[in-house]
Formats: sequence, C-alpha cells, structure tokens
Amino acid sequence: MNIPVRKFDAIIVGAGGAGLRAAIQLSEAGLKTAVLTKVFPTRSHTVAAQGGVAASLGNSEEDHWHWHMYDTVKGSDWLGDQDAIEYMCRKANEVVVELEHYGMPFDRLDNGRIYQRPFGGHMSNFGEKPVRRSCAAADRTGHAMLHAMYQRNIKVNTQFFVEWMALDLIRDAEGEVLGVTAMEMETGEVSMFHAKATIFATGGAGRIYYSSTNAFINTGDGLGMAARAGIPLEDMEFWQFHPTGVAGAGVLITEGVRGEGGILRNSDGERFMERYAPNAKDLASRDVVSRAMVTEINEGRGCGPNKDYVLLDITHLDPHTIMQRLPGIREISIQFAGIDPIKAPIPVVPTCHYQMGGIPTNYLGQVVAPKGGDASAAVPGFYAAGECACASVHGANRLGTNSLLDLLVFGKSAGETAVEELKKSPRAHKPLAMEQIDKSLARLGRLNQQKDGASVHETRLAMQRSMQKHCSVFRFNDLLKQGVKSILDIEQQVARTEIKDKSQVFNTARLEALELDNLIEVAKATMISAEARKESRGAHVRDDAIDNAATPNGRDDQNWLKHSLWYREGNRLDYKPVKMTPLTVETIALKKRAY
Amino acid sequence: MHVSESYCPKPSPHIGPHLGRLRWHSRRALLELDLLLERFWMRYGDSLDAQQAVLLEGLLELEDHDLWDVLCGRREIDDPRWQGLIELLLE
Repeated sequence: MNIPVRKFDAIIVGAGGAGLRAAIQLSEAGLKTAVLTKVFPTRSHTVAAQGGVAASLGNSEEDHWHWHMYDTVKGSDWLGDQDAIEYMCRKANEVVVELEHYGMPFDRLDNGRIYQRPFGGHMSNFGEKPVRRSCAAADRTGHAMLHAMYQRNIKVNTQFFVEWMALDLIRDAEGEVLGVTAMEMETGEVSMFHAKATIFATGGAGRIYYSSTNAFINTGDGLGMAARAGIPLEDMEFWQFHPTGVAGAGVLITEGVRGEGGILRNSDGERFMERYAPNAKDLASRDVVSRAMVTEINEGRGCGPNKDYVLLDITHLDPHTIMQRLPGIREISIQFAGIDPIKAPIPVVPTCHYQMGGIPTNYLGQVVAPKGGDASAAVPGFYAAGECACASVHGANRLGTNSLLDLLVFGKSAGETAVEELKKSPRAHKPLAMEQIDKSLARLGRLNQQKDGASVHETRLAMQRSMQKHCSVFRFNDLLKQGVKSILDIEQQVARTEIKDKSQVFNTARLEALELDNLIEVAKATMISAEARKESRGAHVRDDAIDNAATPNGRDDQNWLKHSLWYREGNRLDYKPVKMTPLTVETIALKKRAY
Repeated sequence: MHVSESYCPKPSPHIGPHLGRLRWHSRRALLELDLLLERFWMRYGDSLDAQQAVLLEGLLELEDHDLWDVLCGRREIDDPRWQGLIELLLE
C-alpha cells in the first residue's frame, strides 16, 4: 500500500492553547512546523475557559511568584512536583505579557495595566488573604487567547492540517518518537507525519464520565496514542469534579446559584447539607458538597427513576431575583433539564471537570518515563503540554486559573526545548519503517470488517456509566474493585465495536469509534490507579481512608507521597517519587491542607 | 436531557457526503452547543433538506460564544432565514 509521508521538523497534535503556544515557538525559530487538529483551532475546548490566567503581576496589590507557588503546592495537596511548580509560577508574568503583545485583549485598569481579579485558592503572603492574580478578557479569556495565538501562528507560517485525526504514535526500535499516523477526515486517507520533534497537546479526556462539563471533542486522543505506544500515564486517579452539573447533560450551574439562596435537597425533600456542614450548609466547599451529594445518592436518597441525582431548589426565591440575577441559569435549566427553575428544582450531580494526570513530562515539556533506573528519562523526540500532560503542576487538585497558565508555560517550554534539541544536534530525519503504519491500518481494517460487533454508542455509554458509578467524586473500596472488573469487561466490547457506515468522507461513525479506542485507555488508567491508591489526597477521596493525626484528611504521606504510573501492557502500575525540591527556593514543607 | 454523542444520520441522496461535514462541524468547543446540536441531529438529521443544510452551514460558522448568544436570544441573527433553524434547535 502506498502511504503518503509528510515531512516536517516538528509536528504538534492539537490546536488548543498548548498546541498553538508550542507552534509559535517552533515556527518563530524557523522550523517547518505542522499542527494537526480535529476541529478548527478556535473551536478547541480552551474556548470554554472563562476564569482567567494566573500571574503574580501585582498590578492591583502586592504579589509574588513565590506566594503563587505556595498556593499551587498546597492546592495540589503536595503531589505536585515543586520544580515544575516553581518554573510555572516564575514564568507566568513572561507568558502573560507575551500574550498581550500577540494582541490579547485583556481587561484593563484605568492606568492601562492588566486588570486582575481574585480567584479561589490564590492568596498573598503564603496563604494569608486572597489576592488579585487572575488576568482575564471578560468571560471569554480562553476564546480571546486562542484567537490571539492563532493569528500569531498565521504570521509565522505555521502550517495547519485542520480536520485531521491523529491515529497512532510512531516509535522506532530504540523508543524514539518519529511522528504520527493520521487520517484526513475529508478523504479518509491515512498519512504518516514524519518529524524530528512530536508534541502532543490534545487536551483532556473528560468524556470518560457520564456527567462531564467537557465538550464532546475531549476524548483523550493523545493519552490513548501514548498508552498504545508503551508510554505510561501518570496520576490518572485525580479528576476535579464540580458539585452542580445538570444531571444527564453536565452543563455547569455556577456556585452563584447557591450563593443566591439555592438549596440542595434529596428525594425526601430534606436539605441534607445541614447534616454534613451545619454552618456553611449549601455553601460549603466544592469537595464537601460533592461528597455529601454522592453519599445521599449512594444511600438511596437520590431523585428520579434511577435515584441518581439530587435537586437544586430555587423555587422559594423571588422569580424577579432569578430573572434578574440568574438569567443564564434559567436558560440552561430549561434547555438541558427541561425544567423552569422558577417552578421546579433542577436535577444536579457532581460533574467531571478537569484531568490532573496525563502523559508524564518534566518542566521542559519533554515526555519522561522510567528507563534503566532513571524514573524520569526523556523519551527522545516526544513532548507534551496542557491538559493531556502531567508536568506535574496540579498534583492531586488544580487551582482555578492555573490551567490556562499551564498551557501557556508548558506549551512554550515544550516548543523551546524542541528547538534547542534540534539546534544542539542538527540531523536528518531518522529512517521511517513503513511497517510502523501497520498498527493504525490494522485498527481501521478491524473496524471496517467487524461483523456482529458492539455499538459504539452503547459501549461508550456503558463506559461512562461505569466510571460515574464506580470512580466518581467519592470513592469506595468495593465499588472501585467492581469498577476495575467492569471497565475491563467493557474494554472487550471496545475491541469489537462495529460501524455500519463504511464511507470515506467525513465518516463520523468511524471517528467516534476511533475516539472510543482512546477513551477506554484513559478509563482503565483512571479506574486501576484509583483502586490502588489507598489514601485520600486532593480530588481522590476514599471512604475508607482514616483521618487522624498521622494521616490528616486521610492523606498518607508515608506510603502514598508518590506519583502513579499506569502502563497499558498488563495494566501494570508503577510509582515514582514526587519532586519535593524546587529549582531555587526551599521546599514547601508538608502540612495538612486546610482553607 | 439525554446525552448522545453517536448519532449518525443516513446521508440524504441530494446532500450526500456534505452531511458528514456538517455533522462534524457540529462538534463545538462548548458543551452547551454540542448538546443542542446533537439533539437537532437526532431529531432532524434524516430529514434535513439541501436548503436547511446551507443555512445550518452558515449558522455553524459562527464563533461558539456568538452561536450560544444567538440561541439564547442575546444576539441578533445575521441572516433572518436562520430563525426557523434556531427554533428547531431549541424545540
């Protein structure tokens, strides 16, 4: 078979914030750079980011990167690597100012400087009081960021392959990454993209859960490709959940609704938060509210035919207040729950929001994996950044506004490192064995030939329901064990999915089957890593983790202050130490995480 | 609202492969839009005519936040012929 080969110095998979930032770095250095993307760049999920980007500019009040670093380490529940966190927080001002120079329309102060607003978890003077650190462009920060960086890429001649789906990573016998195989959606044609540097910026995989705030495109394609190529996935048990997503849809209902007097009720109509948080009640922190909701559902006090959600009640509020102060919420509720919240309560459920784990990298953006006694040996030619990567700066829990910062800093550093590596040892492309495309062709061939197979839709739904039931916001030993069995059973179904439509042009059935191949890898990594971690830390909260002086909030530093590494082959788990030593400052010492 | 990410309409003979492209362009950056468009395809994918397909193509060219504002009635529509389609999307 004659497979086209397209040669570039560097290829980037994914055109969200991290991919676009990396591409700028490579193209500006004069390298021939291609970006492959499933959707048009400005339709990447980065668009959904509203909160802003954290940087200790100190435009409104005193601030310092070291304070930002402290907040990030604490937020991560000490699972974040302190070298990477220092790097990110120190680089924040630089990447924000660069973005400003690219034309990002940040909100401004009267004196012309970038306006900054406070955001949860960001404090001054090592946790003393809230600080204004978030730089935003109204409520469209992600959208504005993508536009600014896309325009910059056009200026520096980055070549875009829009509506191409990457299929598999190409590695040679020594493990060096030589590019990817990819399919053009318009023709169904498969090509090899041959590169000296390959950067993954494919975003998260929030669609593994039934209830997710993530857009449908977030299917963990980079994680699936990395796992199939023998790269481990790091800290996949850590997912951030938001307490109030519309049940069955996932669309977020902002915390402001409870701020206006909204009450959570169970199937008995009881205001159950009074039992879990007698003082703060419905305004308790996200994790407390989420766990209470899940406990109510698990103990049979959920609502609806499947007793799988609780109700957010604002019917007691003055309709004028709802119309005036919460208009967007009314629209969302009517559209996605079929309920006018003035007349009836909104069904809500804790909803998957952000993936803290991912493809393991160092702060230079290089993908790393254990090799010959080195826990973090760089995989030659391979880089990753953004939500698909695990640097690890978010550790067990991410702070708001650090996600946009992550993709800017590590998108840039991945690009920068690739440029340096290529300058350090200029060379021709390594030879590409055409057999390496066989795996991708075999997957496509299997899909085309499958008879009496499983429905993609039903199989994905089974995976999403299993993840939601067994490995959600609050985790139980028995459920996790059942979940491992369940997800491995579902994996067997994924291996025999069938599509009826075999056409070549924009065959969305084929694309969704290929996406499911990636999702299931993330689901397995998550379930197996979560079952194994016998403590509570950050977003991973177990019912059986003991809360005492030695293990505050169930966090067991003696045994579990380490990163999980899941390997696809044999579903093997390995662990590596957390990097507790920053680059230039003293270690931020372990202590109980409390706000 | 039931979440479905896997509805593949039968290509109408008069629109053909163009439908697949539109279907893919309905994958958006915002979950709100994914959900409304998915529901639209489930209900009307099989019966979409060429005229509607052209109108949908125009609507899908909007930026995500602008499209959401149009659907919520917060932004005026650029083409009055979109109105019927918007009603189907919100139905």
